[in-house]
Parts: sequence; C-alpha cells; structure tokens
Amino acid sequence: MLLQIAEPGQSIEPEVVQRLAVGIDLGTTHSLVATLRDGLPQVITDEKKRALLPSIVNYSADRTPTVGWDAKALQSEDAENTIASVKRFMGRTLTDVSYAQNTPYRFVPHEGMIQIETSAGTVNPVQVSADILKVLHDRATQYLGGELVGAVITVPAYFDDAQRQATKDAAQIAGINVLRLLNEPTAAAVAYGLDQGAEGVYAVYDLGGGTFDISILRLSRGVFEVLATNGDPALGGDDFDRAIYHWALEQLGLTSPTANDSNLLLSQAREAKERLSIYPSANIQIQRSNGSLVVLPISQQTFNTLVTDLVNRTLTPVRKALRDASLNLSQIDGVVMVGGATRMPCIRQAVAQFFGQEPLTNLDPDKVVALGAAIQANVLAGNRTKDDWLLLDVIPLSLGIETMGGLMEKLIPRNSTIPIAKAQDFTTFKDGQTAMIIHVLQGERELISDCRSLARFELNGIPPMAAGAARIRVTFQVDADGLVSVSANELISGVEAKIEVKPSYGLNDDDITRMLQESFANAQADIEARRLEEHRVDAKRLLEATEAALSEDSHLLMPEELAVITKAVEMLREAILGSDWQLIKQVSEKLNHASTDFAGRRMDLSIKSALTGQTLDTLAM
Amino acid sequence: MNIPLKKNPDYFEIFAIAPKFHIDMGSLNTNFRDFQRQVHPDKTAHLGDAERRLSMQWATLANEAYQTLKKPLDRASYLLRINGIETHSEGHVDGLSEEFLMEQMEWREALQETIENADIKELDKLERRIKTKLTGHLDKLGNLLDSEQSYTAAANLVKQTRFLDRLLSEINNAYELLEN
Repeated sequence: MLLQIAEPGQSIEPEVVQRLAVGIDLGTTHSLVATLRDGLPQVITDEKKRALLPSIVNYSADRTPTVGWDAKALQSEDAENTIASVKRFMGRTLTDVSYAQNTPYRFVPHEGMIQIETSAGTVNPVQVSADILKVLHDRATQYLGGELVGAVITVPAYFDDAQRQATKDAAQIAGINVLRLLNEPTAAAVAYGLDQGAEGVYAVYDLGGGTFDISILRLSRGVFEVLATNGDPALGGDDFDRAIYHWALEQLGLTSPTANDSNLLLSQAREAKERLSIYPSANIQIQRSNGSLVVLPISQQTFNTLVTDLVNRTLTPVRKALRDASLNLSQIDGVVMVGGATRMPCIRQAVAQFFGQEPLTNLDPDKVVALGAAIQANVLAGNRTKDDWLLLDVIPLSLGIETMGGLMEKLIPRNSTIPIAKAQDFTTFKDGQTAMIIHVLQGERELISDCRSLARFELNGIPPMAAGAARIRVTFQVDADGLVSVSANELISGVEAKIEVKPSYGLNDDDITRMLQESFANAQADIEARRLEEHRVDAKRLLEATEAALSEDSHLLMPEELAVITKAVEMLREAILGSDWQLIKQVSEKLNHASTDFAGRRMDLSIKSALTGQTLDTLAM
Repeated sequence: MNIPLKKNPDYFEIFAIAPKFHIDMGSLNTNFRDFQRQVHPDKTAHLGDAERRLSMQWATLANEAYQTLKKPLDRASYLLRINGIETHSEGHVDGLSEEFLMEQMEWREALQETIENADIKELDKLERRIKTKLTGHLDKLGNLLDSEQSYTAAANLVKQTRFLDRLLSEINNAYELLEN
C-alpha cells in the first residue's frame, strides 16, 4: 500500500534518523524529483506546487541559465538559445541525431558529443542536463532541509553505455552523488508492484517524450526480475508533436517558417495533441511573426492517421522483448502504462489490442517513474524499510568487440542480468608485439559500422614474445548501473597491461573537471568548499557503515586487526572536524584499506546465512 | 581493482545443489534469489568501498553461475569442465560425423530458403524440428552425464548440440528480420 496516503499519526516506521535521498526522473520533456515521506513516496513540488519541471534551459549572455517554466516561456521568442529535449542528444554526435536538423539550435561542427552555440557560450547536453538536475537538487534539499546522501536517477532502459555515462556525468557536474542509474520501466514496476502487491509477469510499456522502452518483468515474492527489455531510444511523444507540426506546415503552405514561428507552431501542435487525448478535435492557433493569425482545426481521426506508423513502431520492440523473454502473449498477467505519451487514446487502443487486455493506468504516468526511483533511493541510502525486495535488471544491448573483417563478436548478450562480467583471451600476431587495440562495441548487428562504438582501448606494456605466445585476458565488467568498464592483464608474465581509454564520444575526466570549474564560475573557494563537503559526507557514511559493521561482527576480527580499524576510525573522526579535504580523503582510504578483509569476512558470513545449513560450509570461507 | 575472493567456488556450490545435469529448477531459482538478496550491490550501496566492490564481484559471480546452470547445454558443458574436459563454445567440426555435418548443411540451406521466401510458416516448422532434436540431445546428455558418467561421449554430444543451439539463435534472428 505504498502509494496510498497515510492517515495522520499512522507513520509506518518509528522516526529513526533518515538518510536523505531522492529519486530523479530526468525526462525528455519534463523532469521530477521525489522522496519518501513517512514511508510513502511523493513528488516534491516547486513553490507554486508544480510537480513537473519542463526540461528546458535558456542560455542568455551574462546571467545564470534559466531552467523550467521560465525557460519554456522564452522558447518562442528566443528559440536558438532555449534548449529543449536535450535528452535526445545525450551521448550522441551530430551525425547520430537526424532529429537535430529540425531544431533551431546552432550546432558546433564537431566530432565528439553534440555542442550547441548559445548567447552564453558553447554548451553540451551533459551541461544542459546538469543545469536541470541542479534545480531539482536545490528543490529537494530545501524541502528536506539537509544535504542529500545521494539520488537515484532514471534512464531509459534502452540507453546504451554512452548515454548512461553522460547522465552520470551530468549528475556529477550538478554535485549529486548517484546512488544508482535505474531503468525507467523498472522504476515504474517497483512503484506499481509495491503499491498493488502484484505477482506474475508484467509488461511495462513506457512511452516518454523522446524515448520508448518495453520491459518484461517477473514479480515474485519481493523480487523484481527483468526478463527482457527493448525499445527505441529516439521515439517518443515529441515525434507525435512533429507529425502534427509537419502536417500543419503542409496544410498552411508554409515552406520556410522563421525559427520563432516554427517553435510556436510546434508548441501549438503539442497542445493540440494533448487536447486530442480528451476531445474529438482541437484547434491549432498561431499569431505569426508577420502579424497574421492562423487557425487550423484537427480531428482525432486525422491525428490517428498521421501517427499510425509511429504507433506501430513501438510494437516491433514489444515483439522482440517477448521473444527474448521466451513468452507468448497469454503469459502476460498485466500491462503497465508509463510516460505522458501513453495518455493518447490511439496508444492505449493499440496496446490493448496487441496484448488482448486493457492496460493498467491507475498510477499517474508522469509521476510513477520518479516515485519508484524514490523508493529505490531510500533503500540504497541504507534506510530500513518494511519490505525486503530485490531488483534484478539487465543490460539492454549486447556488448562485444571488433574482430577481423570489421565484424562484431558478442561477448555479453543483451538481456543478461547485471552485474555481469566476461573474460576473453587475446594473443599477439607479430613477434615482439607490445601493444594492441581493442575496440569495444554495443549493439545487435554483425557489422561494426551498424553498432555503437563505445571505446578503443590500447593495451600497452605487453612483454615482447613470439607471435601467439602472449595471453592477454581482457575482462569486461558491467556494473549495476549498466556501465561498462574494462581491465586487462597478460597471463604468462603476470604483467598488468596498461589500458588507455579513448572514449569514442563520451567526456573524459579533464572535460568534466573543466565543466565543474565553469559551473562554479571559476570560483576556487567554491570548489574547495564543495570538495570538503563531499568528502565529509562520504567519510561520515564510511564511519557509520564501519561502526555498524563493528557492532554486529567485531568477533570476526583478531584483536590487533580490530585495533588497526579502531585507530583509523578515530583518525577519520578527527579529520572530518578539520577543513583539509585531502586529509579526509587520505584517512578514508586508510580506513577502507584496513577494513577490506573485514568486509570480505562479513560478506562470506552473509552468503553462508543465505543458504543456512547447506553445503556451503565446504567452501571454507 | 578486484579484491581476490578467498576461493572461487564452483557454480553448483554457490547455490548448494548437487553437481548433476538433472537439477531441481525450483531450488536453483530460490537459492539464486536468496543469494542475491545477500550480496546484490543494492544491499551495499551505503557501505564502504570494500563492501561495494566485494558485493559487485559476488553478484557478478552469482549471475554468471545462475545463467550457466539455468541453460541445460551450458550446464552440461560446465559439468564437463569441472570434470576436466573443455568444450568450446563455438562450433568445432573435428570429431563430428559426416552424417551430422550433412544434416547441418541441409538445415542451414532450409533456413536460408525460408528467409528468402519470407515464409514464417516454414520457419515455425523448422524451429519445431530443431527443438525436438535438441530435446532428444538433452535427454541423452542427461543419461551420459548423470547415469553413465561417459564424459567423452557427452563432450562429443555437447559439441553437436552447440550447432543446434546456434541454429536456433539464427532462426530467432530470422524471425526478427522477417517481422521488420
């Protein structure tokens, strides 16, 4: 009953100190932040009680960026500098995004991630997203009255590594500790499943402003297990607006509208779409910049015809996901609708017809993702909850490497449960070869040109040997955020081969540091103050965790081991009183190092308790 | 950097089930979930670095183990490995009968034909035939591994079955191709 409103005085848990954490839905058209209050998830509203923040940022010279409703108001008069739907550009180059041609922005010709020229200088999608996140972060800290331990930020399930990494980078620039990147349909399933006590196999159909996801999950005794996910990272409600927009241009005989007319028409198209979800017809009405007033009526029937292809495009990923999950339609117990675009009757009808059952629409499709993220954030922050549930998510796209002839060899197939790792051995093909390049790709197609290039790794320091003698083991690890990392070592000599990462179009650490500095207007004092605050928060978390571990399991330690840890705890406690962040960092590392064995023993103990009395004793852990 | 786990337990040990081809899927599922409830990174997100790293390593191992044991062919291959026999994941033709290879070629041609003709019905038929064949192979594998302990014969059969498995995934791709 998590989403119901608690009766006054009927708080679910006794008020222990809650670690403050939020869930953020960083959406294409709008974003939200939610948190848990008395055990119930709720969206945090702005000072005008508005839950949604339009994901729009205006960049004007000599002032801080304008975000949200105020930026939306500037959209038609200052189209070039008002950036909307930036999520579509995350982790993308200009050539990736055909949609970019239809926008009024001044793109900087550039090979890496998209850059846009504005009156306030050049910005990239990560910075724009960071500016949106900052507003939500401030909203949350004001409401909650304290610093956050961190946030769960949602991403489309079908986002690839570059898009996920870009999202995480944006959070870092906004000064947010990311507890987890959570897939949007999974977040919705958590909110829905815990609210309704659902059991069985559910399909989550999530059509947002700019992305489409389908996830199929099995909900069983508190475990949310994603069986398969699929989607289209460039299909969403925006495209339905554009369908109306293009139709209207044609109807009105407008061939080259001004940027402002175009923006106005687009926002009218969106409003018409929204009205058509309720009424049989709507009017598109714009005052053109030449003064003339244009009124164009559109019926639901016309609209449905315009968007037939778009609606059908969502069903292809649905079929693929079902096949990957080895399920047929009769095995789906329920279909959950998520995302504002699922309000359109044509979508609801198509989904009902496809699945042969009415989809579930009882939770607000705009809010359900943020609510689910808030529930997960509360757990990850280490707050006690009454339910002991577990999320098992998957990697949406296969991960592989380039092999001879420009082909992709899959190492980790799509829909593998994460975290997952895969090791692959390589050898040299020339005598005395000391380096090799490994090209990491993500996608389903055979040709590397049809897949997304994630990174090129150059392995250096291979000891010179005869061709074919070296054995280089490269390990690919996908973590619980769905992010990929790679490590390598040479097995014969035991040499750890050095890896140089060349992100194909991500941002490197230098870029991020630079943006961090820019975002604080080069104020060195601010940066120092923030570093100190960050390290203090981390150190406090570490202290709490260590103390809790000691009080539970100190019997696992020899007296001298306990002494080392206790000493490090004392030193850290002292360090956080001072203002030297480097010292805090150093002592934290010391404590981490001192408690590594302890952590291992505790983990072994909990693994044993998972399967009490079974043959695990033979593991002699 | 990874923290070395004290001992790399074998996949059957992790889920406390006997190392056999025939396993109780219910126990595997339950024990996998109980195990993940303890080690999953979501459970340690608020803890120190060491805990978080260990948790990711254990959860990774558990996922890998579960995926391997869940699929009969991978389970067979893994059983052979812990008994000292490596079977490669990719098709190696050595040691396979000419008759078997001929049949493979015929099926591949049949698949190619259904793709060219965009014939979903024929594709269904082909899939059913190969699935039946696969079930037969798996039954035989169960006998070879659990009752007779004839590992060499089992390894040869695993090798053949990989071809069928590969063919089924190509059929899967064909469905996608034809539906688009």
